[in-house]
Amino acid sequence: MAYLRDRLIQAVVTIWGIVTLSFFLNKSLPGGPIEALQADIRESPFKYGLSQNPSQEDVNRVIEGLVQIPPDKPLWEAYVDYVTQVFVEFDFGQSISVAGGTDVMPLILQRAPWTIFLSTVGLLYGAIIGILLGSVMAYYEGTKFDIGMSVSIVLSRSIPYYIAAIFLLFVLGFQWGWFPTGGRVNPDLEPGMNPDWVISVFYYATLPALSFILTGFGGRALGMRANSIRLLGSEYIHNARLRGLSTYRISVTYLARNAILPIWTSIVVSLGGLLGGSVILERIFQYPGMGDLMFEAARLRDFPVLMGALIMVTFLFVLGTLIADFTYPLIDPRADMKASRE
Amino acid sequence: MGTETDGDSPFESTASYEQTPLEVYQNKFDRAVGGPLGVLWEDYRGRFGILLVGFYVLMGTVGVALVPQPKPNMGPRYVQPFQDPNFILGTDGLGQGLFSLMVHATPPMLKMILAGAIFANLLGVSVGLYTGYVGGATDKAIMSFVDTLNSIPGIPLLIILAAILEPTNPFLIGIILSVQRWTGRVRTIRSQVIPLANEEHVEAARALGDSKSTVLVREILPHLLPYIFIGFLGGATGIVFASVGLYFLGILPFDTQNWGIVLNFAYEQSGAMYSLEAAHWLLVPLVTIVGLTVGLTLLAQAFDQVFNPRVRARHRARGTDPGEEADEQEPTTSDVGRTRVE
Repeated sequence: MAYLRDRLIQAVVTIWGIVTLSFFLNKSLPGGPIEALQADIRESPFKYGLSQNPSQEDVNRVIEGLVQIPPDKPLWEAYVDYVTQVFVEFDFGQSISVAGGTDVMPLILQRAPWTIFLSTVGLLYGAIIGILLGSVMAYYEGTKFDIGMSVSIVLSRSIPYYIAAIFLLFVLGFQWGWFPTGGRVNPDLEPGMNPDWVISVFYYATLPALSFILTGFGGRALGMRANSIRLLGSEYIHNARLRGLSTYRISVTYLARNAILPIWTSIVVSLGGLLGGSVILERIFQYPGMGDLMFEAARLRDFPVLMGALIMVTFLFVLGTLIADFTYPLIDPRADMKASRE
Repeated sequence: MGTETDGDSPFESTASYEQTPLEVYQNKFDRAVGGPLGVLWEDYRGRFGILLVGFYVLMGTVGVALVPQPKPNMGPRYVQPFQDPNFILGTDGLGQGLFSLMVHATPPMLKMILAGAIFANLLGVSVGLYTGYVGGATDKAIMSFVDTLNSIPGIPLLIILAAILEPTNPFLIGIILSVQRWTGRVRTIRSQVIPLANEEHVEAARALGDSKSTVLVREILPHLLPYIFIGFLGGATGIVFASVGLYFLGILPFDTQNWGIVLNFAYEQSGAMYSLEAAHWLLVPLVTIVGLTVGLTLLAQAFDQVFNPRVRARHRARGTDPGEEADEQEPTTSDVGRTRVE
């Protein structure tokens, strides 16, 4: 279990690291959020419920309410305050731009499921297509199909996903009208787990997910192809053939399982790219998820929301990596055995 | 043959044929530049890559001087591509020539690539080299820092940095865009250094009392050249992806020209998405961006060949004896020998 223990420690360190980074970005960067806020409050105190020419204490109090960092306290005290707020109360402060100083946390939680949904769909389909295609390419190694696919994969990988997104939106959305050009679900339908609504959710997610899938499956397919080709020549596969096992059993339990191993972690690592990329993608498709929230916040310099979203995105990514790490021993029992020898 | 013994001592032998300094330089040049370029040129991917990337470099250097600066109302609006000889790629909704926009956005892009890729490589290689060689607790500490930084989804972090710092200098933007990218380089380089650190020639250098820095630079670094070159090209692609994405979002200040800004205008404030009349406004930057990323990817793929000693030797053999079909067979010793004597 030492392997999983190390992974868990690394995850906690990462979360703590990002919170610390967020604190220092807020606090000590020249022209950073706190300085910018201070200037903004002095310029238009009414926006923050203060009278003309507010006293320094009032300004500090407002800033503390917004970003959870008291500007007048010494560094370490402010740091301890901030970390406890974030870890114990899950409090990221209040939004500057959304009316009435809404808390950041509910704002993010409202949007997060959509982004998670979109990223997961992109990840799953990208992985499935990549793995299947990679195995087929390995089987037909050296044929025209294999070479043609390899070339087109190299091309598809060098296209940025947002370029694919704009192109898909332009052709399939606006010109041909096959898919909706914005939003995340048909607003006329009643939200809930009824089939119409669920279908609509998938329908609206098709184009955004497709832009990820089209530009992302290639790497996995190439990896799977290389692994499969290497394994096809190995002795245990020969042995399995000699034992007269069925082709299905050889290809699924003997070949596929081992060929997936090296790309298992890389599948989940690409989740980070998907979550991060959602900022640009959700902007293009006007998909109101967490990425869109970050974009709006960045445009309006709403740093509490930005920091909260950054911490949240990192948390989700770390969670994804943990899931990959904890499921890895299930498909590769050696991962645990190695640890037990220590 | 080839040497003359000077009577007394066999050690004072000189070559019977003296090379002029020019020939020495020619030889050196051929080995360092001409040979690799030749290998690249022979590979069709390399040829495409050189042509594509070379075209962009020309555009960013010579092109800027030849093509007039874009400004609003320099021509009629929405000129279609390939209609007006003054505006080869047509004009946008503000009457700016698209070709001129594309050309004048190239130099800042090249500067970003240069600064960003050098920064990421320099930092990534030096940290990876050191931590992989030293190992132990230092390695553990450095790697957990690197992993933490690496677990933050890139684009959200960049958005926050861009919003806080509002950089306008292309070199600075390039460095900001690689603020996290170097961590990936550390992993790659480190995994190569660890097995190298125990090789015999490194052991020998250590035993001779060479300092740590000497061992790292003279014994290990040369083996990493392929990874450094290919990492540089990968880094360049990453910079193009990220910078165009952030400019498209409108988060980086619009003081410098960028293809992403053209995309942003086309997407945001025009009917470019709706009407075919303005479609070229969208398509021209799309093609321009993809052209560069495809070129860089192809070049990176072909670079594998340059570092393959067999391919290089074959190329050199063929260079001296063009009539021979060296392509079909591996170079024999006599081939190589003849090359040396000549």
